[in-house]
Amino acid sequence: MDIQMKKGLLDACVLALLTKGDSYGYQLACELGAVVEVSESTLYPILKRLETAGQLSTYAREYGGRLRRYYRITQTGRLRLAQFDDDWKELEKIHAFIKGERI
Amino acid sequence: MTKRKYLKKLKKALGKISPAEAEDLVAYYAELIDESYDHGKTEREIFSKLDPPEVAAANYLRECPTIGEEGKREGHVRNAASNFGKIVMGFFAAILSIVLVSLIVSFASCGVAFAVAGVYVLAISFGLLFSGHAAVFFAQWGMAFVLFALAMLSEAAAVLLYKLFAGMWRFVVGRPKPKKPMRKSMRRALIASAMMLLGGQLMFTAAFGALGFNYKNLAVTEGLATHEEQLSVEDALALEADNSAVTIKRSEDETCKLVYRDFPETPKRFVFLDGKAMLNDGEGTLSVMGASFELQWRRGLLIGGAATDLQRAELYLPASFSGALTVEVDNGEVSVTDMVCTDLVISVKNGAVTLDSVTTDTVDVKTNNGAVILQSITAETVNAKTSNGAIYCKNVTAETVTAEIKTGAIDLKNVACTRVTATTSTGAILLEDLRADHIYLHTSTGSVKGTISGSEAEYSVTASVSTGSCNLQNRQGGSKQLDVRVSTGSVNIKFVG
Repeated sequence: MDIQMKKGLLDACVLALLTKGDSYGYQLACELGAVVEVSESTLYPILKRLETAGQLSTYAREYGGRLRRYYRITQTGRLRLAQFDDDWKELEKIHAFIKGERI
Repeated sequence: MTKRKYLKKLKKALGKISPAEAEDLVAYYAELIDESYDHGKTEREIFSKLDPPEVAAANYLRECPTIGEEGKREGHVRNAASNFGKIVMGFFAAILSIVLVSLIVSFASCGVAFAVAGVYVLAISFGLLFSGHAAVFFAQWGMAFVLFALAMLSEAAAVLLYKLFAGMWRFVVGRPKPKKPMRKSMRRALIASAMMLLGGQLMFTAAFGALGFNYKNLAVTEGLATHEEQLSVEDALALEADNSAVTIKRSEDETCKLVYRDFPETPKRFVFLDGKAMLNDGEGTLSVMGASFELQWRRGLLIGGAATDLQRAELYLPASFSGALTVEVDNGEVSVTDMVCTDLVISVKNGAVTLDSVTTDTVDVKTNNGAVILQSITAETVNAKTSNGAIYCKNVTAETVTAEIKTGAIDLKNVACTRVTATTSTGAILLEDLRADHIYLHTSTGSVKGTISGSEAEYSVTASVSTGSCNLQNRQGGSKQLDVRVSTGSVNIKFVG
């Protein structure tokens, strides 16, 4: 899939994963990898961006003798995810338009 | 490739971005690599799957160019506006730091002191178990547990204050850390100390109950020995004691004797030489310390408090004695009743002095810590001086009365003399039926109030009050003198009779 198209979707994927519970880098990468092809170097900027936008927060917790950084979805993040449904409807309209024009 | 190499290359590839940002990214990859190892991946698998560090860095810089930039831009705007605010904040934080640091240090050292005291209490208690005083033993263990709990609470307070301190500076520097929940160990320590506090108190209360709720039973006081020493006295007698309360009385006949009490573990030394009686604890600090350890080991921790009271000495003077009496005591109260003598000089370091029904030429009483109580005194000169305590005179007749105190009140009830001087730094001066030709009342902080016998017209009045009210008016021409000086406080003196 085109990387530009994927970008917006990945944000929503990460937020969706976090609604199931807090998670950390490795786990997120594995779970996300099962759905859509994504490299680590793509995931980090997404997390960072979401954090800057206040859609997720992070905290550190000790695990197995070292600190693991966990990510947690915020209220803003949940709102963003809800908004995604509306965005999707709009996308479908565009999709229908593209299809219609092509035929 | 190894983890170290990868991270190093990554850092280099990031170029000039803020250190915090770079650190964050590197930490992310470090965690990822560690986790992969933990999940049983081999080095080859890990690094073949991972994008090369150059790509990772480039991806980050491309995807998140705004984070660093925005931060900088915002920073610029914010800095311009808030640099001044930051300096002000830093200034207040520095002032608060002084308070916080001293609080942290004092809580921490308090904790250590409590712990040391607790260990001492525990260790010294075993002697009581050996001698079969189980209730006192358990009472002391209860105290020890309370001390340990206090030690833990103090240390916990120090840790919490430190966190406050660190958090404050992080805020000032502008790098707030995410809030972490209270550490489990901290919560456990708090619960443990609360339980210890409760348990210790229960234990103490139970043991105290078994002792009949009488504080005197908290020490084992049996076996107190009484000694009687005959003294010969002519026209002067001096008594010196280091740790004894002293009561001086008149005997019914011509005997002159000193009765004192001590514990066998800490025998007192008595010497009578050239009209001077000396009653002291054993020689040398070390032996005294050893003896006091032994005393506590056998009789409980609180024996010290009971000892001063129990090891009291009584001096009986012959009925015909009328010479000079000098008493010097370090720790312990001194009381003199029914005395006729030429001079009475008493000096005490820690303890109150009580004189009742004394007729003499000169009364000179001095104590550092303790009250001075003078009742029914007839003398030429009365001098009373104390640093901390109070001076209370009732029914005193003398030529001159001088009362001087640093912290505490002076109370003059029915005092008749030619000249009275009362001086206190902090404390009130109270009068009742004061009869004197020359009255000097000075206090820095405190009020002066009460009644003087006589009419106001007889007196030349000098009254000065810096802060406070004053009911006296300065006037000249009287045959008697009243001089009142107060810095902070009010003056309310009435003339009666």
